Amino acid sequence: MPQSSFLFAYALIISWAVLMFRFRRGDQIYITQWYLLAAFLWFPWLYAAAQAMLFVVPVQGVMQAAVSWWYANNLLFLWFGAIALGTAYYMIPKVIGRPVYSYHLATIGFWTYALFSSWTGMQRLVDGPFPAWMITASIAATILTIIPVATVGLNHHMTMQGYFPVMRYSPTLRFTVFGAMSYTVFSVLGILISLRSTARYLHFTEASIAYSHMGLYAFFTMIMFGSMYYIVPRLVGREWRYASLIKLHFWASAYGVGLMSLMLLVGGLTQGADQNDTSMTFIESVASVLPYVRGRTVAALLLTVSHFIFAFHFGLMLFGLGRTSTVPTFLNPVEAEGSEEHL
Amino acid sequence: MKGLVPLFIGLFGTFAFSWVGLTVIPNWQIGALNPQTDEEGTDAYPTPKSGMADRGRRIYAANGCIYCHSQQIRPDYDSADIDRVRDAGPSPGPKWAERRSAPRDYIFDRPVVLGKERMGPDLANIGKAAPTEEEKPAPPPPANAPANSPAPAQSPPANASAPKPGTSGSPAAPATSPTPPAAALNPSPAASASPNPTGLPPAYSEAWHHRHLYAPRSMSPDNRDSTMPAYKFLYEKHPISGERSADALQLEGRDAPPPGWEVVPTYEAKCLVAYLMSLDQSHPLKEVKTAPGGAAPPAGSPPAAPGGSPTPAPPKK
Repeated sequence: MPQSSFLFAYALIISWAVLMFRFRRGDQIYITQWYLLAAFLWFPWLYAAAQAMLFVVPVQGVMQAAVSWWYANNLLFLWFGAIALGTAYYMIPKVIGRPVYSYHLATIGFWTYALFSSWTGMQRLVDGPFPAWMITASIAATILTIIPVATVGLNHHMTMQGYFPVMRYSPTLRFTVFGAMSYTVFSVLGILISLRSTARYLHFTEASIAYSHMGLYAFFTMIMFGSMYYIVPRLVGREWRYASLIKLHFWASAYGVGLMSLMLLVGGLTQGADQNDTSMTFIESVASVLPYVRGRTVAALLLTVSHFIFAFHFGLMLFGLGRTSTVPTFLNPVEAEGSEEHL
Repeated sequence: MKGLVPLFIGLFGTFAFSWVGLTVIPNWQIGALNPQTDEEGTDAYPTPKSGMADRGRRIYAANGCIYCHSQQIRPDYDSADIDRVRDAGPSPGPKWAERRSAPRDYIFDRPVVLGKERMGPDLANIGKAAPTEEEKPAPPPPANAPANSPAPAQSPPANASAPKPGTSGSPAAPATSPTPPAAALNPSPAASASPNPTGLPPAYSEAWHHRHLYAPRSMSPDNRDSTMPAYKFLYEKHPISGERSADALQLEGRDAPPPGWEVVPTYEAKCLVAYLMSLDQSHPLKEVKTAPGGAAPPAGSPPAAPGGSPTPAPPKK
């Protein structure tokens, strides 16, 4: 039952998106549409393949773990990641009112992303009971993801060039650019922790949790927050009521996810170093990571605060308590007259 | 980019490439392994788990044990997994493993619980760490000083954990000694084998696991840093009617039930412990090098090379 309602919801989303796409103006397919079409095509296939291989015709033994990680990693990259990148390609040019820097870079970034990130995943099973070629192939693919990261990052950066001060005013841009920058950091970290020489110390530690949080929160969720700050006023016909709440939301979530990643990463390093030192007992490795886990709890509290702030603000919008105004809510008073048209 | 057709072909192709490359081909390579047997077709390994142990795996999965415990041993050239010894028990404690894990170790596991983090120790060989049957009646070590415990009473596990090189047949003896099926059939005698009410049960025995699940931080002063949750809901506290139950937990201090009461494991707890006791990857596999400096692997298994790993031989159909 949950699965059929899930499929129904998905079909609703997809059918509207496909209808929109079918009756679009012009022949050009915009970059965002590549990413979204790809995600809409990949996700059902990915989900069905994992369901079939894990539950309908279960694979034997360790292959269950391989299929699980293949699913989890591709869910992160081909579904969440593709949606986030597509959204960033829409929001950044839209808010600053300037076309994307280069379509060629975008094409390279898109196809290398599709090709390489779909082959990652097995590096999370490094040195496990698997044929070594699987893990090595995923490590190689992870290293090659530097190509889409570099091209997408460069494209966003060149689009933003000269418009970075707009982040002072626009909530959408501030969240989206934070997410787009996190994509670079997340991917570079992913390359670093997947190398065999570092995986020796970081496998089975909190560091892999730091990596997942950077992907799902600092990258995907922050871009989604940004797009909600853009979409919701257009849906309900009101503007966000309190600029201060948006600012608080941004700083609490940015510091929260930053602190969480840092704590888990450093904690993972000490944990891994201790576990590779056989002169230490196991419980000592747990004791050494405890301060970092407590630091992570502080970070999680910050994130909780930011979520409550956003939920409250979103609730105000839903109940029609937003501002009625023709001017969007800026984070700071707009000083320069000329910059207004870019917002 | 213009045209939907090239876009769709590309999207289809990239994903099909990944799907075939990372799931279909590996599944063809390691997805249909059979248990290994010796020349006479006996001494099969691995074998399916008993009913209780198999049910215990589901309890293991349902309680999220996988989030903190791994069940896979990495090779010695890339980690300290094989050199590591367990914290509890007489010093030196039982080793984590004699060899790395291989796909064949897991062919009957469903769901497979390899794990991804180690806030708790690896459990791939936890059943192997249990004291052998004959020494269970031995007096347990003093509670707070595992290092000072009477070593002779507990030393056989350490001996048993170092199979002699070149004898591929003999390690079967230690491998079968914990006898999970027998323990599963009749768990109570083993659990009641601790005659000393103040001391800890022998490390990694069934009684030890029950007490550890009930009160993880009561096991030793070192263990107060343990982040393991107490699985008290897998146990029942009820008044003693007549005789004290044979499988009642030996508890002390804060965890002890009030006088006249006792704490006994539920059937789920017994299944979980039967599962833990059944975890044992000590049986040698042809495709994996056993113990550093131990028996050389038979032909067909390449030695550990940098950048590669002793890949399991392709399944011989």
